[in-house]
Order: sequence, then C-alpha cells, then structure tokens
Amino acid sequence: MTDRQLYILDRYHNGMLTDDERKEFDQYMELEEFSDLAEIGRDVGEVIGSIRTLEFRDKLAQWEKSAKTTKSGLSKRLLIWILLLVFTLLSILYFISIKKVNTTDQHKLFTTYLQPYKNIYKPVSRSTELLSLDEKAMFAYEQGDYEKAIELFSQITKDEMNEDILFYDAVSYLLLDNRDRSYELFSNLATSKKYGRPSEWYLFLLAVHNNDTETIDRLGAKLKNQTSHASIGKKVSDIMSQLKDERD
Amino acid sequence: MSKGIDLQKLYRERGDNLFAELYTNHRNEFVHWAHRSFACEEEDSVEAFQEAIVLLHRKIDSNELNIINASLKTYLFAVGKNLLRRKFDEQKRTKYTDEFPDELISSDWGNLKALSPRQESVKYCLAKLQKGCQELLTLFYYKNFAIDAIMHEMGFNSEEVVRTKKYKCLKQLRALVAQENKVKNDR
Repeated sequence: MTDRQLYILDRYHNGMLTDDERKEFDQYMELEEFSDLAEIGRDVGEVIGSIRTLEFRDKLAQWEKSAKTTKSGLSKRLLIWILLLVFTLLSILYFISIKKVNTTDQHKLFTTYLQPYKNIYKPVSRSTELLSLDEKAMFAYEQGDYEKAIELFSQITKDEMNEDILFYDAVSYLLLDNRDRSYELFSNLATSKKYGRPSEWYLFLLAVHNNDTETIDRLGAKLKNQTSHASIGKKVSDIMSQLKDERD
Repeated sequence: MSKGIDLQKLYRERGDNLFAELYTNHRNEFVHWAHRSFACEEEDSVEAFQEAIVLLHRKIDSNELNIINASLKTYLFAVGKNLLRRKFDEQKRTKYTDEFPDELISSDWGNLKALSPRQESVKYCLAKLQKGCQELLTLFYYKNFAIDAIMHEMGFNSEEVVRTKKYKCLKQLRALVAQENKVKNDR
C-alpha cells in the first residue's frame, strides 16, 4: 500500500472524498488489499459502536433497576407510613371513644346512685322551733338547700363540731358537686364508727365518678361484704356488676 | 445568539454520569408524558426512553453530535417521541410536537442495526488486537478523530507515524478476520 492509497482510504473513512478522489478510490478498489481495508475499516466503526452500546446498555439496566428500586422502595415506605398513621389514628379514636363511653357510663352511675344521706343526726319536725345552728343546718339539708346547710355548718364553732356535722357537711358538698372538698371530709370520717361505712360508700361513688379502678375494687369488695349497712352493700354489688359488664 | 451546549465537553467532563443523571432525572417524566400523549403502557414508554438514551449516547460517544441548541432533555424526548410514533399508529400522535420538534432528529436516528455475520467476525478478531491498536482504531473509525487529533491524543510523534500504525493495525485485523473466516469455512 502506498502513502497515497492510505491517504485516500482515510479520506474515504472520514467521508471527505472529493470527486477526483472518489474516482481514484474506485480505481484502488480493484486491489484486493485496498478493498479489504476499506471494508474492514467501515465495519470497525460499526463493531466498536456496537460493543460500546452493549456496555452502555448494561449500565442502563443498572440505572433502571436503581430507579425501580427507589420507586418501589419509596412506595413501600410511603405505604408503611400511611398504614402506621391510619392505625395510630384509629387507635386514638378507639381509645377516645372507649374512654368517653366509660366516662359517660360511670358519670351516669354516679348520678343515679348519688342520694342525700338520711338525716339520722337531728331529725327535724316542721313544727319544732329551730334554736341551734346545727338544727337550722340540718333543716336546710332536709329541704335540699345544701348551700345554706354548708353556710350554717361553717358557723358552728370548733367546740361544738362533731362527726355528725362533718358527715352531713361532706354530703352537702358532694351534692353541690364540690367533690374535692367532700372527698377530703369523707376521708377523715372513713374510720368513724358511726359514719365510717356511709363515708366509704360516698368515697366509693367518687371513685366510680373518677374511674379510679383501684379504689372501686378495694372499697367495693369491702362494702359488698359488710353486713352493717345492707342497702349500701346491695347498691355496691349492683354498681360493681354493671361495671364488670362494661369492662367485659 | 446562543452558542449552544458543547456536548463533547460535557461528556469529557462527566463521562457516563451525564447519561445516568439524564436517565434518573427524566425517566418518570417521560413515562408520564408518553402515557398522556400515546396512551401507552409503562413498559412501552420505558423501552422507548431507554432506546432514546442509547441513541443519544451513540451520537455523542461517536462524536456525531457535538453542539446542540436545545436542552439534552428536549433531544431525548424528541428521540423518544419519534420511537413511540413509529411503534403506534398515526392517530395516536402526540399533541406536543412543538415542545419536542421533529427537526432536531435527522433520519438516521433510527434503531441501531444488529451486526452482520462478517461484522461479528471483525468483533471477535478486534478483541485479539493489542490495546494500543484497539484505541487507535476506535479513535479513527468510531470517534471520527482526525489524524492530527489522534497524534495528540495518543502521543505519537507525527501524523505519518499515526497513519503507519493505523495501517499496521488494520492489516493485522484483516489477517485475523481472514484466518477466522478460513477456520469457519473449514468446519
């Protein structure tokens, strides 16, 4: 191969042959080696392109795999988060509704069973002239005027104060929905021989209102089994039974 | 007037990462666009997108596409659109022809052809050549580098040396192919 032939071959492969060079090229194509090199040179471009494209397709497959994984990973993560969120919301709603139902039912129980305690301290005859403060207070209590009863109880001096007054004072507070004050007073009377059981009954009712399960169970068991106040024992049994149904 | 994007400079700087980013950033967008425009399945649109990026790679890798005045994404979508249009009937033509103009793509942006049996022999024998020969032939016949550019790229002393070396490599390849064909014919 001459330098000229090699030059013409390069011009051919670069696609830059002039008309005169094209004629020259056509003449050289009669030569076996020249024609072979022209053909192989053409093929080499195609072959190398094919090899490089094949390598590129491998990379492409990796990118696609990665894109799919990212997409599917993202979708899965998103789905898990959505499910967790839905589950959490449903759980919260469930507990709120359960608590609301329980609270509502227990408030209802409390209201149903809350009654003023019978006046066994100083029963008042309508015709009786009210002389003492405690008599006036107990009269107000019997009339259902608990505010007045409390006011009058508060005027009784320490010396004249006794557990009867404290008990009816506590009941009056409870009937006026001042549960904290009544709780305090009933707690002090829980060991009283005369008012211990009735005080525990009211403390039991307060526990029902507050959904204080530990106190409900403890006082409930105690009051159910006592024999001195049968009516209290029966009411406690009823309430415990209703609470058990709700819990189940 | 805009100078356009120098694709060869970009490709030299970033290599195949250029295409990796292009693929990752626009794959889903193309799939959605193709679904809107051709009502095609994801499988078809992904295939068209992949083929479009392969064609774009070939054009840039072989130095056929150097400077463009539209974005690479526009080129990519125009090629993909062209491929999808061939696959689906004319009634489903895209409404977005202006967005991805046909003029960007010349008629040779078709599917890549499979190698002929003779080219398969060349491929087999090419792998037997020394790395220096492979590189030189790649630069000249695939990347269309001029002789002086190869001289600088590969550190030869003169263009004459490049021509002689190239001739020797091609001659050696010719001999290997002839030998390979003879073995095939003898079987």
